[in-house]
Amino acid sequence: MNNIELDIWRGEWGLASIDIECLKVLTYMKFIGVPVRVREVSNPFFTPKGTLPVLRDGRKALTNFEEVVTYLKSLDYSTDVHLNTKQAAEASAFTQHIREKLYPAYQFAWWVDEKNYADLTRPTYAKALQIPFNFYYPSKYQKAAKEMIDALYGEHTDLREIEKTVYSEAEKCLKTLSDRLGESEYFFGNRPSSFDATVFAYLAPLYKAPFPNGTLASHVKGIANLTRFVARINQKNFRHVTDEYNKQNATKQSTGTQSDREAANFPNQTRNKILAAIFAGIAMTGYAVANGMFQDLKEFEHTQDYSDMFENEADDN
Amino acid sequence: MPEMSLKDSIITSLSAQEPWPDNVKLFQPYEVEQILLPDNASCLAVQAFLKMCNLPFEVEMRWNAEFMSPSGRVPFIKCGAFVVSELEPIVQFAANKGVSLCSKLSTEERAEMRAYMSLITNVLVNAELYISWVDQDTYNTVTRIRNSSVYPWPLGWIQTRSKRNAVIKRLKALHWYDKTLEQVLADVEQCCNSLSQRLGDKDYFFGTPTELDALVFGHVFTIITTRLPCRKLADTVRRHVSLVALAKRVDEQYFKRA
Repeated sequence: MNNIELDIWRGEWGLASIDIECLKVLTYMKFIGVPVRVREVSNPFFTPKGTLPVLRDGRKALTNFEEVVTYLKSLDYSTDVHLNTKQAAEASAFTQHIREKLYPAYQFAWWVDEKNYADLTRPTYAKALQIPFNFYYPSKYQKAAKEMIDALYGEHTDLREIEKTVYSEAEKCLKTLSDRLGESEYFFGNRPSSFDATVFAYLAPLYKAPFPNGTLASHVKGIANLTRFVARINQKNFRHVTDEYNKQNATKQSTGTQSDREAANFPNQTRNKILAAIFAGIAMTGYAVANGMFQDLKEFEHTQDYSDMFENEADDN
Repeated sequence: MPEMSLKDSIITSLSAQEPWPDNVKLFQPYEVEQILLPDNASCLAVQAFLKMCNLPFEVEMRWNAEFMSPSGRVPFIKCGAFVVSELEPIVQFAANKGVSLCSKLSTEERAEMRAYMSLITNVLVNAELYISWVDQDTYNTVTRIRNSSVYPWPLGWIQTRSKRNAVIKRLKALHWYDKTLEQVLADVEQCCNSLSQRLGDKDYFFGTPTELDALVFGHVFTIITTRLPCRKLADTVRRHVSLVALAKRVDEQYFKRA
């Protein structure tokens, strides 16, 4: 039990991870209080399903939230023991409700909205990934998200129309959640459950990420009791992450010059320059070979021989 | 979204002026030859809802109901100048006319009701689609034949293919296509468990009939009464006695054509 490892996407903006699934698992582990070694992975290529998070315990590897909850339950770690059967039923109903109404909007805001994708999502994931995976994964995820939106809302042809529908559904869902939460500390009594982890994972990124087009985020920020809910869980479980982020931000603002900030935004600049130079060299040589430049050199030598011959002839005459 | 709410409020104020007309028609595919399990369930749910509200309507069967509907899904109702499709918008539409089944419910109960309705549309509907279009046996012996029955050859073949592709695309997007039949049935089992836990030994989910009861009735009744080569879905649902009892209760109270 002591050697549980969790591979996740890296964090940003004072969040422990940028990815919703990773955040779910991480929050749940915090709720339980199991010691876990968290690793920020820079490419999901070698994981069992090509996705993150991955939770490893010995030889077992689990790749999604439901599996993790079930597995930890089999080890007698669970946050849901205080729920009676009726509450458990309600939790699963609400989980489906969020999945149906809020998840499409979440995916839309991150991946389908062009402005958000170009200015926020793509750079963030590219930063979290390693060369050459950063050229592959963001567009793969965008494609998946677009396919989902198309399959669910394909009857509308206009993207603006879809955006309106998706966001208004999400708004209703958020209202429903807010009604259900009321003024209590957690959704079911005064102890956290796996459902609280799910809701937190959905909402926290919408609070923290600086969306260029923040329609969905502003819906979330407009609801007071959900705002307090997220702040509360963040304060209790992820204080160190937020503190570190704030500290970094403060030092950056006080001492950072333009070039320092640039260096922070683009790490490994020297390495990239060298890589670029090597790449350019290889490309140019390849081009030269393909065009038969070295053959020309050989022919050139021949022609010199010929001209020598002619010169000799001229001398003879 | 200001534009959305403006459009909504115009529809609300326009439709609120008129009472429920007498010549409302509900359009759906042919029940005997054509209709498929998922469509039948949602048509029945809407019918049950309208009957619970005591709103008069006539059922009109059209082979191309699916293509007449504004959202591409059946059923839809034509009410005066308005055409509204699917259960949720129809519930909203009726509420605008002052007819609602959940007016006595508290806000928390209403939130709960919406959550359970999502549970059904997410789990049962996808399971029905899976059985009808992905399960080879059912697709070959039932779905393909019924769906193409109303079209001349080769249109039937083409239309069935394109519809199957659309359904598979939807199931893939929701990560249902990679599931095995056992996993689908396990999800259905869990969904029915949640529903029967919530229902307990009450007659209806919230004391009096609501749209949730109509939705549960539509799906449970259709699943247990439709004969398919794959009996496992029906068997899974039938094990939940309280849900079956609810379906029978609604059927007797609202659908007995005596």
